[in-house]
Amino acid sequence: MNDFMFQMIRCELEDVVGRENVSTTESDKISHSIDYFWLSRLWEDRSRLMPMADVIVYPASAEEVSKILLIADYYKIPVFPWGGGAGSQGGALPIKGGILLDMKRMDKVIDFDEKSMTITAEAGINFMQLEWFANEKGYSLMHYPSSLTCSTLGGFLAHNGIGVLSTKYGKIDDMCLNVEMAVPGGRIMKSAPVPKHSSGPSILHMFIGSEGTLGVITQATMKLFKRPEVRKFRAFLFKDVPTGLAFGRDLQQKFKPSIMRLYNEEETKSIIKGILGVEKEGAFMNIAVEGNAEIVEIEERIALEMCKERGGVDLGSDYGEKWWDSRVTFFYPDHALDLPKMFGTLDTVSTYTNIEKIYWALKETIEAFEGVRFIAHFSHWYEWGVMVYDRFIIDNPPEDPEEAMRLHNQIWNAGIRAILENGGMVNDHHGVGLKLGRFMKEQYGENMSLFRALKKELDPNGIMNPFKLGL
Amino acid sequence: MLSGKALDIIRACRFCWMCRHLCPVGLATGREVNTPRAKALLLDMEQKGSSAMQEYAEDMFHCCLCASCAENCETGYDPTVFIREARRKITAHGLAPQAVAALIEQYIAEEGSPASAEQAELLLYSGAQDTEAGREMQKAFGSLLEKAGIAYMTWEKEPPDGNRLYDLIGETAEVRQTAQKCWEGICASGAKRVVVLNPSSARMFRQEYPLWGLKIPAEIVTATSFAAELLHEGRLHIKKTDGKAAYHDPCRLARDLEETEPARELIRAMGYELCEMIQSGKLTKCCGGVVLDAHSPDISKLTAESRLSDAERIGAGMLITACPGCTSVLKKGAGKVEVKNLFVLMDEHT
Repeated sequence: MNDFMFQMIRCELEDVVGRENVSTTESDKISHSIDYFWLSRLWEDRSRLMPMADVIVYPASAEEVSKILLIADYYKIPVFPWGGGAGSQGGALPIKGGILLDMKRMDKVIDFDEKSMTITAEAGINFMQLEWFANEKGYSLMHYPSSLTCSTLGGFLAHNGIGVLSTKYGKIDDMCLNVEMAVPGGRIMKSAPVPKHSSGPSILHMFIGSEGTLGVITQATMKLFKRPEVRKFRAFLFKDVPTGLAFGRDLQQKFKPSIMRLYNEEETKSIIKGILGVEKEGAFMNIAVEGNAEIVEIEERIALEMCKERGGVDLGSDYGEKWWDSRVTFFYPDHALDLPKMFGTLDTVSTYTNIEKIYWALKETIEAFEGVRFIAHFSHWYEWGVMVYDRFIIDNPPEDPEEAMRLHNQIWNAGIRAILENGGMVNDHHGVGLKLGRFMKEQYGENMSLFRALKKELDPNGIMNPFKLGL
Repeated sequence: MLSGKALDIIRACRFCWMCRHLCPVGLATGREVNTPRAKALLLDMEQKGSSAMQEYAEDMFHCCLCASCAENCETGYDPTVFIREARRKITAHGLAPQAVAALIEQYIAEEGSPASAEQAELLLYSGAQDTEAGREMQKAFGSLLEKAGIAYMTWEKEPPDGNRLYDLIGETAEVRQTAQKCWEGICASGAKRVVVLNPSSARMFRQEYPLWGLKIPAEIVTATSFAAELLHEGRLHIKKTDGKAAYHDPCRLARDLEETEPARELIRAMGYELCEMIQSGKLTKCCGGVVLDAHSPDISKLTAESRLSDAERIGAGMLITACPGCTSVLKKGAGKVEVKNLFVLMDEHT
């Protein structure tokens, strides 16, 4: 775009949000050019510049967002919504220049409905701040992902994330009553006030997980839960992963634990060594039960009985308590995976029938690459299936960033195709973003036309977060 | 030139998002650049030649150095180390924003006269005589000492301790010279105890001065600890009241000096029902601080109002603090909660 028109459009944006809330400084552009996506970090690490937005805009209301989208739509300028910028899939990266919409000024709690046990907030609020707001009044949102402190409400909804307590309380789409979304053309749309009804297909589920490709989530109403009276942990050792999977499936027919994490043999060895001081073969599982103290006592007893029936070993509560206390430590520098290592999480979800096939196919596929380590655990359980959190790690990836990118993408290509061939999904809870967009057609085939039709209706000029979600 | 320690922290923080829920400036402004991650990223890129100092110079000063990020870091990295060093480097290159440069000049030029009409074993050091809140606090604390029958001395024009200059330009010859003059004054006073009203000054005396070879030959006591001591000794006769109040922990006092309880004890002694904000104690949310307020008042107004809303949300009618800087910054924010200095309040209650 020529400088004259750029300045004209900038003035229009300033007219909406005020001059102080429109920025073209290099520091603002750089800050928004890198997220948690390994390739964006690699690019920075190797002194290469990531694509940058032309202008950063900080709206303060849904109306301002809507007006910005109207301007962008008229001039056909790409718009990239940005919450915490902590996504691992490149979903917020402004890869085509244009306008980056940083939502963090929209951080107000709008309503706290104690009678219905819901909280309504603007989408840019930091999720930990929102949780603290609920905690002050004795409630919790019960959404505890590792990125709890890093991300915004809108960001979590945009990629449909999940927290460690999901088996009992659900994924974020189970916790959300309704969302408001500004879409190009000046419209502010709202899903139905409640998520359960027989009044047509769920608009809520068209918006959640749309990753900014249809519009910008501007506010949401979320469920609140009373904080549990007790939360108790128990660890078990099963002879192998299939036994642990069957236990997890069957346990849910009795009650819902909040946490269930089953580790593969490789991870089990190191965990057991940490607990017992000896290496032992098997599949380690950590569970948490919580809620009313009397009910929890019964649930714990049932879990112990079922473990015994299946030849499992009860390892007590110490590990779980320590894990809970230090669960976020693993994501701080020097504890988390970081450069120079190459790594990725191929989290996927499938039925109990397919999940083991996926696990073995993925393990074989990933380990076929030279110098790659593969670790995995199963968490986020449903009556019909479970998520597997597979990770690959390369200690010494190529120094050359282009070669490193090539290898990274080859591993993802092979890994995701192994998942798809065995009945899994492109992703379970990190989202699709830029990283996995190319697999959406492979996942959905002809059904992608439904997504395209929705996109065409809401964003006919294709300005919203281009090249994400395969759209 | 940044130190090896600063560069290590920069490399650790550039891709870490974990502390942004605590950054008062980042939360209040909503700006990505006002997060430790972004500041580390910009400095890292400068090291590699992909970012220029003049582009980020102003951003480095948009931080109140409250160290909530460091307090939260499970690994123990402290972003304030590289931010202070970056400020020093920016200033040395003449790239500090105009308002900051003027402030640095003003702080360097500040002189004091460590002379007292009285002689006593106890020296009362305000650390904030140049602000209205500081003068009020000193007057109130002096009144409390008199009511408790404690002899003390003060300086009519205190030499600055250098804490504000240190925040702006880090460890430099100018800061050390400022500190040296203040240290000489304290040494010459013959005081055995120095009661310090400004927690930022107390931190300098206790933690920075010794590193620069300026060990003070007197006990450094915070005003809150000293007042609690007087309460324990039965020297203060406090009239009880009622009402709900919240206490805003000054970040230097809570985090750096690890002191959170004496002020609470004093507030309870006045009869207030103390209601706690979630971000309290060592997790306290900084009001913005006097230095940020002096060069970027628009930002410190936002941070102050963010803190006032924390107190309002939990139903506190009053927000009490024990720091002259916090008192003046919080009073500038718009909110329904009344801001009171702890010692002014105590003076009214005795």
